[in-house]
Amino acid sequence: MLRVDQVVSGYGPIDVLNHVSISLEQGEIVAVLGANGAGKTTLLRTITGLIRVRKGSVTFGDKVLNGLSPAEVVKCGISHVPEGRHIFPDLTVEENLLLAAYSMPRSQQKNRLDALYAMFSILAERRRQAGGTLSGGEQQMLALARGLMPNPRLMLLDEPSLGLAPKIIGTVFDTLARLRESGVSILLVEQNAKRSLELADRAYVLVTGQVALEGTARDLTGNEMVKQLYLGGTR
Amino acid sequence: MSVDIFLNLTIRGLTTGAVYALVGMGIVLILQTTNVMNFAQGDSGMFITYLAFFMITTAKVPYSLVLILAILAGAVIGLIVERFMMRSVRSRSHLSLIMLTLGLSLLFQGLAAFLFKTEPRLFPPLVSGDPIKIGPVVLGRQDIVVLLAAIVTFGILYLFLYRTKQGAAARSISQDEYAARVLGIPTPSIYMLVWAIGSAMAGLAALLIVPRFSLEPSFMGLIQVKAFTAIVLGGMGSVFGAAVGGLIIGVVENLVAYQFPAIKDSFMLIVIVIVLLVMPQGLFGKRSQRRF
Amino acid sequence: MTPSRLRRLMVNSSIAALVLLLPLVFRTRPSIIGYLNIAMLYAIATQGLNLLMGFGGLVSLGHAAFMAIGGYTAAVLVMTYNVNMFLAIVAGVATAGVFGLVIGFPSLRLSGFYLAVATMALGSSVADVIKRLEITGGDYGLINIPSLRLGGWELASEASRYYVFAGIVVVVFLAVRNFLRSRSGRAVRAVRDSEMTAAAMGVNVAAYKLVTFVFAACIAGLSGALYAFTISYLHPMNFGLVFSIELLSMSIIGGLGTIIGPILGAVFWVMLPIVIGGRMEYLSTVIFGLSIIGSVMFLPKGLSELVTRIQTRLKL
Ligand SMILES: Nc1ncnc2c1ncn2[C@@H]1O[C@H](COP(=O)(O)OP(=O)(O)OP(=O)(O)O)[C@@H](O)[C@H]1O
Ligand SMILES: [Mg+2]
Repeated sequence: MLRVDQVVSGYGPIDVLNHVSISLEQGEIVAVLGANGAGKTTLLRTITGLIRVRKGSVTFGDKVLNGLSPAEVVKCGISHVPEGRHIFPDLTVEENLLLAAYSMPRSQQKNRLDALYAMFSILAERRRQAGGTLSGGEQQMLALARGLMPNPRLMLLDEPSLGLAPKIIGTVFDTLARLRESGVSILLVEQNAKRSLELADRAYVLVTGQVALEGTARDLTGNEMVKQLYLGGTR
Repeated sequence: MSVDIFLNLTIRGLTTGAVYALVGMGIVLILQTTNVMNFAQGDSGMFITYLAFFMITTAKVPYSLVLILAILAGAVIGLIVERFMMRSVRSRSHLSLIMLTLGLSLLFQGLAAFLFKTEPRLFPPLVSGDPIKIGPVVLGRQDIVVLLAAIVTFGILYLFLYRTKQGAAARSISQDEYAARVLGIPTPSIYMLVWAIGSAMAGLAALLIVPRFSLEPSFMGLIQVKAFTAIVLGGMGSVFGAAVGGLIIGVVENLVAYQFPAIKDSFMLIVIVIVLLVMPQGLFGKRSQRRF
Repeated sequence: MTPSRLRRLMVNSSIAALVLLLPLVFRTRPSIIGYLNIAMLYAIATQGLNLLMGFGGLVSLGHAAFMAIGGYTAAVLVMTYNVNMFLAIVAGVATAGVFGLVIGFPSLRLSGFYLAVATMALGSSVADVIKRLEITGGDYGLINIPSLRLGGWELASEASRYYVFAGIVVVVFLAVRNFLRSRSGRAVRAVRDSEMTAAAMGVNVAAYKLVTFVFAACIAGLSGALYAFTISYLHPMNFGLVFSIELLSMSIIGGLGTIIGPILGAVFWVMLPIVIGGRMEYLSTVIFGLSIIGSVMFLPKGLSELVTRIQTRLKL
């Protein structure tokens, strides 16, 4: 469904991604692992059109995404939950959600809100509260809900467990598992390799802007290099 | 100072303050969303006022139509400025953006002086007639119009910001521009919209207040300085702060000018420096909102 | 000597020769030299602003106030207290420096737009205070200020002032350049690029900001003092926000953060209206506005960048 083919992209004079190719099929959860600065966030930004594709192509279904603006990419059915959550602190929870479905007709927005409030009851309770007053875990739920708001076929998640307490990380991953049931495909960027390999179907390992390894989650869990680099510690 | 005089000074101060508020609200709107401090706000209004002047005096277009055309002209100027100037330099430093709008302000002044000459012209007021007496307070009719216009503009801006999705988008951009883009909010069109609204307000403000002065290329200069001080006092964070800041400055300035005429011009300026130093968040700003 | 160095030497010396010969070329039209003199004074003040903004990254919308303070101090000392003119100029520079210290304090806490508004307010109030004082001639301004005299030598002609000013411009510009190359200058630029990094490197950020402000104010004060004795007339209105913005415009058009920018910008600013002529006077304002916009958008180093491009094109 998503095909990133030999993509080069970066910032200013620097290429961060060097001929990266990844793919993802309908209904899959695919994890992207890599050290700090490997280019994981850059990969997601490139897919969503936040930064330009310099070489290669990004296609979604039969649609070429090269050159589309983030707004247009969202309309194609891809949403992006950014690293660090980026909740609007002074907007209410509901405003945060509505903005994530900016170009959706009102009636449909209403349906989505209802569905998400049913799914995340805590957000329903806090709907009139400013985003900045939520706890870290609640903000992550809001970020996930924002990602679901446009009813995407594919969600790009950038380190959803970052900076959360272990117990809340569990909740986040449970939520992701539930999402899989509902048919949303997920491209998951994580530092938490153990958990993401447990959840994912397949995974890629990114090293300095290139795909160093790819395979099924089970294969990679057994891989020596992955074990050493990412599964060795307590992470 | 008797109560009557105090009341008169205060109410008239409010009408002057309404002027600062009108200009300041436009500046804050643009500043908050697009991160550009528009030093050309006053002078784009001045330029539009010249266009309006010739429509009224030469082409004999009815005043109400001119008012609408002036607002539209402001919007068009805002669109052009955003699309062809600001968009390509958005990522530059604040200093570059300030310089760009200073250049724009000079351009408007030059165009006005070059095309229309610099001698002051008398601009007919929108409403004429004897001043109105309300109890002990005497108010010019145009002053009342200005006050009403400020209130109505504030109301419209409030509705825009808090009741439309474009307004919510504008507020979201001011809090976290990156997040807004990630979520797929079409930020370029919001920038254009905000510039259009902000500049339209410049046209409206200048047109309403020019009858108090005379029309010349520099007539918005001092008003813009006062509008800036109003913004600072209001905390730069909100349209509401700019409106209240403008009113406060109008009133205080009027009272000070009556009691201590010698320091009337410097007083507010000194106050502003003190405000900046001891409470940079102003009356209504939040510390978190400082983006400079 | 390599051919390219030889060529550069030739170009530089012909420019120097041209500068020296100008008064002879325009022997019959001293007013042209008069305008160039004003341009040089503006260039000196602008160099201070350039130091502040271009190299120090500190916005100032009140720079004209320093010129006013330098000019009024020097003129009042000479006219009311019969002080020797040279000492009066020194006193003008020093007073401007002290005000630089005072106005510089906000810069310790404010930056960007906040600093712009603070300097705008302080700058405008200086003009306002001068307007209210008696000793400065108040709203009438100071008239009949004696003309420049150094030692026993009265600089009555435009040409004589021209050479003196050209010398001062060179001295001031070299002083700024050497300052920037010194340890303190590097610290100033480090502060501009990132206050946090500079502080982490052990730079006393506050001290360097103040030093920059004081130095810039002194230079502007010198310009103001010379200005007073050149045009023999001072009025507070000429040193308000409008003139501050004009100085800023000159430095932008010339090229912020370049050493030769101020002179290029000031000469452009003063001479363009003369070239265009009185009847189309305000066309120059239009061109100034467009030049600023053009500089920011396409030539961030303004006219200096143009000069550099021509240099590389000609392989100088
Ligand atoms: N906005 C930017 N401008 C310039 N360079 C950037 C920018 N964002 C990231 N980079 C650089 O691109 C490289 C890859 O960064 P990226 O954020 O994609 O890494 P990452 O794999 O997501 O790391 P992390 O695990 O820390 O989030 C890094 O060297 C980083 O310094
Ligand atoms: Mg990342």
